[in-house]
Amino acid sequence: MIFDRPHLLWLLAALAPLAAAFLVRRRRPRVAVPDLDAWLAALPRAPRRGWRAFRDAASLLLNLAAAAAIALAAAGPRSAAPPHDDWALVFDTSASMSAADSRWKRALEKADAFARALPPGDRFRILEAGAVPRAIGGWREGGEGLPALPFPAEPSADLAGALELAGAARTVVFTDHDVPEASYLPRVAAPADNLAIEDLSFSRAWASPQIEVEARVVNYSAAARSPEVTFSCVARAAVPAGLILPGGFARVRVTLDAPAGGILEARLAPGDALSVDDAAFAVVSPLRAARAVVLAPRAESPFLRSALAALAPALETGSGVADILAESDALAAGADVFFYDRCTPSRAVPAVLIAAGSGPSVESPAVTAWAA
Amino acid sequence: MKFDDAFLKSLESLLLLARRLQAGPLPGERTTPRAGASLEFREHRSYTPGDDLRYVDWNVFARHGQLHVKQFAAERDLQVLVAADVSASMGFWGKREQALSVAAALGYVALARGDTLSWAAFAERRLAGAEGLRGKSRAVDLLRGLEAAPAGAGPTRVAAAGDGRARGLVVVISDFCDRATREALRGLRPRGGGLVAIHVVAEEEIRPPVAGAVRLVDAETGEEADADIDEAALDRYRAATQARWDALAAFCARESVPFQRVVASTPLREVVAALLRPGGALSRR
Repeated sequence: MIFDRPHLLWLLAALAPLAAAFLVRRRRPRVAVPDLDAWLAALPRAPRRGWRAFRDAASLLLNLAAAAAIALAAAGPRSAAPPHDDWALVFDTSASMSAADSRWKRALEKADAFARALPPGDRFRILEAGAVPRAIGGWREGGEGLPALPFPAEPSADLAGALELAGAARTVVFTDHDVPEASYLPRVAAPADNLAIEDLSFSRAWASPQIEVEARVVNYSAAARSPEVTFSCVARAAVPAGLILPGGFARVRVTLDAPAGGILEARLAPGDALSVDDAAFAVVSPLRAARAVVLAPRAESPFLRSALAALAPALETGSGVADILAESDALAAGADVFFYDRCTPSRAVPAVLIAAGSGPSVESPAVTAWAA
Repeated sequence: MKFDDAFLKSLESLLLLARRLQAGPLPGERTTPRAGASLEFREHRSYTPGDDLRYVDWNVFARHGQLHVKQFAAERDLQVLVAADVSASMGFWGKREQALSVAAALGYVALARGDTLSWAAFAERRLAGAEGLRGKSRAVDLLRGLEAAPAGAGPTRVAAAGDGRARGLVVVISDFCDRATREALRGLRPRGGGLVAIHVVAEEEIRPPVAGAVRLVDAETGEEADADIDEAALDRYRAATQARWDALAAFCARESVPFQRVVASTPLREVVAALLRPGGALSRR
């Protein structure tokens, strides 16, 4: 038998004064007499000493037993069954665990079988090793099945943090990575051969119906790979990426007709077990005329306007006086280009900048008119 | 217990008292018809019809006009046994001291009278004693022997007072806390002799200094009994004790055993006087 509150066993020490008080209370003063027969003839028939002694002893034992039972109950006894274990089942929920080779399913099956095989008295709980480790639910008794777990889609797995969260519990880690510190490690899969599109970007020239698209493909596998990237934005084009060495990358470029804009997609072919990074997406705006803002301290330069007019119909021009509130205000109005005629911007402008000559700094442009 | 010089002197006065009170034979006393040149004059006593006229002291008659006869040492042949109870029950409230004092006094008187004295201290068995003491010169032996008698030794067995020998007079001084007292007294009576029972009691036996919830312990047997003593219980105890005492006295009366109850706190002189005066247990009949 073990006790949840063994410090309360000190209450058993109260048995000694209880017994002493009982004996003292029961003690009668002894009086010697010359002839007891003379007293016995006069007194009421007293209980025989033997029965009285038994009765007193039984009463004392019952009192002591009750006090002992109270003390033991306060100490919280539990049957001393074989010592049980607390288990922490740590699941790597990084995206790699979602590989199409059903590693995640295998991890769940193994964990479920493990939990159901735990002996009575053992407990387990689920820890998610994602970017931020956390516990999923509370302690469950051995023999129970797993609760529902989130699908692995975390950007990374903090297994060290999850092991720390496990505390003193024995840990079982389900991962496809190496874990330096673990009490038990059932590996459910090896790291997958993975090609990934890590970046997708595009650009559109002035008034051009085409966009220049670039995708960056990284080879995380252990072997050289020669994938093909299929780009589509209404129009489609498949471009071979060429041989990519293990750990290397390749930039795959293509020009696509996309006057109306749309969803740009880049997809690796063939796909691999980890499909989540086999595709990338972007939004392409439709073609439109660029808006230009001309900023000048004085009346606009007719020469600059004439030059800008030559860029029509792709260019709209407007003019403003020197008081520039913020280039961002102009951008909010849809300006793509700023022309600073004989003046300089007060700060960097997040748009095409054309500056002619030097001059005073202008702060706040104000569009006075748009002209095609 | 110590018998000091003062006690010895008191015995002398008791002797005079005894002589004054006792003018005749003691219970069981026999006179011897033998006479001889070595007869030792002891004392005078009043003439009683039938006495030998040869022993009339005519000088005393001429002087006082009263007839007295001479008493000689060899005339007395009374074998006296004085047995004192020294059991555990006698160790309460001065009973033992009174019993030994009475034994000393009576023994001294017997020695002074020329009796052959034996004494014994008994409890469950005879614990001390001496045989065949004669003459006052042996009084010291008597007193020293009684002084050395062990105290509180064992239960009372009245039958242990005697030794089966022929006695003229057996005096048993005890509280008679023996369930076999009656049978013992019958057995102690000497053939052709006398038995005297002196019952030593204490006032505390009637008015015991005990009350409340106590555990009574028999001083002789060690038996214990719990008791809740209140006034009603004390009244019942007193009545039972008095009844027991009265029954003992009645028994002795039926058995023609001279009986005297002596309270432990009573001065010795009063006790001896009560014993020896007419009507007392040791008075001449």
